[in-house]
Amino acid sequence: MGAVLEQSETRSLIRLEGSIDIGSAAEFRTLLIDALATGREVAVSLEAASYLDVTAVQLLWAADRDARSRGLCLTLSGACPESLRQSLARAGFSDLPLLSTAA
Amino acid sequence: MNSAQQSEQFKQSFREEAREILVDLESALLELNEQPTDIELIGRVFRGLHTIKGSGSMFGFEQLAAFTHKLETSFDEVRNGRLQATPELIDLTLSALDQMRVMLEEGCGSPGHDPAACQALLDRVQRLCGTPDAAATAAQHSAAPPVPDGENAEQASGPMRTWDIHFAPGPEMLRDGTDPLLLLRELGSLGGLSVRASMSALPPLGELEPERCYVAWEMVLATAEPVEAIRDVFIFVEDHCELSIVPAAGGESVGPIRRSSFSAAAATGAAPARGLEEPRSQAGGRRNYDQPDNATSLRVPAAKLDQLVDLVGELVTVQARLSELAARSDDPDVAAVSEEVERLTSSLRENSMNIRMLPIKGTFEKFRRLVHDLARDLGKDVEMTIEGGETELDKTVIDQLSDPLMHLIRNSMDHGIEPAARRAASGKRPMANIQLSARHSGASVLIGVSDDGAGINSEAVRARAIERGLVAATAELSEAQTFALLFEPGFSTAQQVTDVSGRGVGMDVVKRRVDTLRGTIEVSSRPGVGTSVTLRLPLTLAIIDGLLVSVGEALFVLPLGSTLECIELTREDVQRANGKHLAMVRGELIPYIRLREHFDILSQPPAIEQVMIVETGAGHYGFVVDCVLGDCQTVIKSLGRCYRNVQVVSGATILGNGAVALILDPERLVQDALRAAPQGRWGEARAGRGAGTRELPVQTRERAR
Repeated sequence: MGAVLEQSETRSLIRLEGSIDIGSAAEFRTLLIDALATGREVAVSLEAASYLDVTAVQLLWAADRDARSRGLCLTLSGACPESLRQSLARAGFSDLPLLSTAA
Repeated sequence: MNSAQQSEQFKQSFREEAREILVDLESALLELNEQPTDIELIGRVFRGLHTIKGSGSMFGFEQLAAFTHKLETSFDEVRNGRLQATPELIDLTLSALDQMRVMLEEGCGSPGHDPAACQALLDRVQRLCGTPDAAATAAQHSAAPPVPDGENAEQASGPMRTWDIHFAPGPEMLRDGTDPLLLLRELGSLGGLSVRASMSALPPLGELEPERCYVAWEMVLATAEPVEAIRDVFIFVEDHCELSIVPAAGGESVGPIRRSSFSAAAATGAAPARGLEEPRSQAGGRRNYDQPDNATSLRVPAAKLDQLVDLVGELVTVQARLSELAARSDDPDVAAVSEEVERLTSSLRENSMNIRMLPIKGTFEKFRRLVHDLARDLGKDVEMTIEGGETELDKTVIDQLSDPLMHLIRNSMDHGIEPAARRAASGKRPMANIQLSARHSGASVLIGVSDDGAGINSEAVRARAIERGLVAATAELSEAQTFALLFEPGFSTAQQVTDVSGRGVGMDVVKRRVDTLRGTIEVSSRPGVGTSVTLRLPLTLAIIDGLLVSVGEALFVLPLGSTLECIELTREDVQRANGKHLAMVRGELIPYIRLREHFDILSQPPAIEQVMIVETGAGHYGFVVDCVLGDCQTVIKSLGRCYRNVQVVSGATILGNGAVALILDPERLVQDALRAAPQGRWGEARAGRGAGTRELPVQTRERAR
């Protein structure tokens, strides 16, 4: 798994790779908080992600609320792989705000 | 801890749990063999398989889960009355458990499982089920994503119904290694499932605990499966979640439901209401997870307990030093503190030793399978009964008992128990019995393996011993001495070597292991009636209560559990006995052993000596010492390899003043003295006191506290 934060002048990009699960939840949370703290737009790339567990979805959902409360937004960078989209739908996470956004 | 370590830890926990479930499954199957229509037993087998399948899949044991799933399907058929629990199905399932064990241990240095053998087993199970495709289809269910239109329901068992399911995992569920998404996947395999996650409990990002679960799910499931099947999905987490399963509004009419917890609403077709939530849930809200958990037991690695006992052992030694210092000090406050520490140390020691005590039932139960398999292979009809399974003994002792018990049972099955025809001819019940028993006796525990077979032919044992040169042809042997020959290395009276026994390698293993545990073996046998082998083992191997005694400068500890009383021995008493080592205790003659003579201690005895009367397997004996110094908690320290042949001493202990005292093994000491004593030392009292006889009891059994 991997979660990498790339900063540019206009936005922060978080790239998620492989399986994002409870083992990386604490690290992922810190990354999201750091990204939002910059005050810039935050984009998340799921292109290389294969699985998001409950902890990862919770964090993305909470980050989205946090961003909105600051007048920012959390957007999806690139496409979400179809298999991932399906597995999120099967788990009842079709409403995950990130899935309905695009950078 | 990183993700990989955490995953390995979960796997290890699962392995431990699954091993226990496999033992229980084996017992349940063997009981089911006797009572094939017992609904409780069928349910127990089904739940066991279901647990292994469900947890196995969660923790990455995919092959194990897939294999178990197919067995589970067959037992679901049994549960639903569509398949009989025949001996063939039970035998196949027992073999399947063996394969499951192999799959479970894969990756731990064990050899891999045999896929061809597994497939062959499953094929045979499926043939018994009569629906070769059912299991395969069911297997696909668990792997495939849920089918939204409920087409899976074609294989299901009743009319299609719709259920509203509310599932809110407890906050710790993720940390416990359970992935709720896998539960949803399993739920989806039952029929058409629509799922919506609720994030209403989600806190702001800054307050969010990343490993805590805040999500709740509202689901609608259309399935023809009974409500029990839905509930079974949550069987392992139901104590750690909020769960309600109610018929959906406008759902199909409700058919008969087997379990009562849902039947009230179901039978009346009551409106779907949250009111039907589990009683443990709080009405209208999430379960209060701040309340203490109801868990009554914890799983703790044995190594941690060993470490605890070691530390307590060290504490006991330090406490002895403190008591010694306090006794020399005039300060009453120091004495008070020392007494308090002594009291606490004593309770701590007792408690920590108790933690290591386990009932022996689990070990006994493991042998049901051995008896079942051997009975089948040998063509004998044998039942196994257990008595005193609740008897507790130290885990270290229990761990080392499996091997000796296995050899004793194999010997009984092969040599002791006669074929059914011969039993019938001698008027015996065709069904033979092997009984495993356990009971406490003083500081020992007695483990027995008894059979109602042909008994031991002591003439054959004697002849074989003479032939092998173990005894002289003219030797006169008591029955106990004759039976003791059975435990000599390589001794076997079997006419032929069978697959089961007869190589004569088993019984000496029993003896060696029992020796290691500082135990003794007693054999009794009556021709035509049966044989009973009793292992007398110490209750614990780490810390004992002892009595500290001195002989000259030397200090010894006698185990308090086997000490009965203490009497004085004057020079007049010695003269009255005409040089025989016998003491008169309330009209009874008790033979005694002078430790001064036995250990060649060069010092003059005091005018009045003390005789410690102890209970041994060979009856009551006295040990003559100079002085009884008092009781002491004794941490047994090994004497090391150099002294491993000194069997009369079971270890040493360090006293408060730093001195070393040897811990005596009364049993061995008596045996040793009996061998070494000149003829006539104990006069008539010694006659009939060979090992295994327990005459001449002392009537008063007050403990010398």
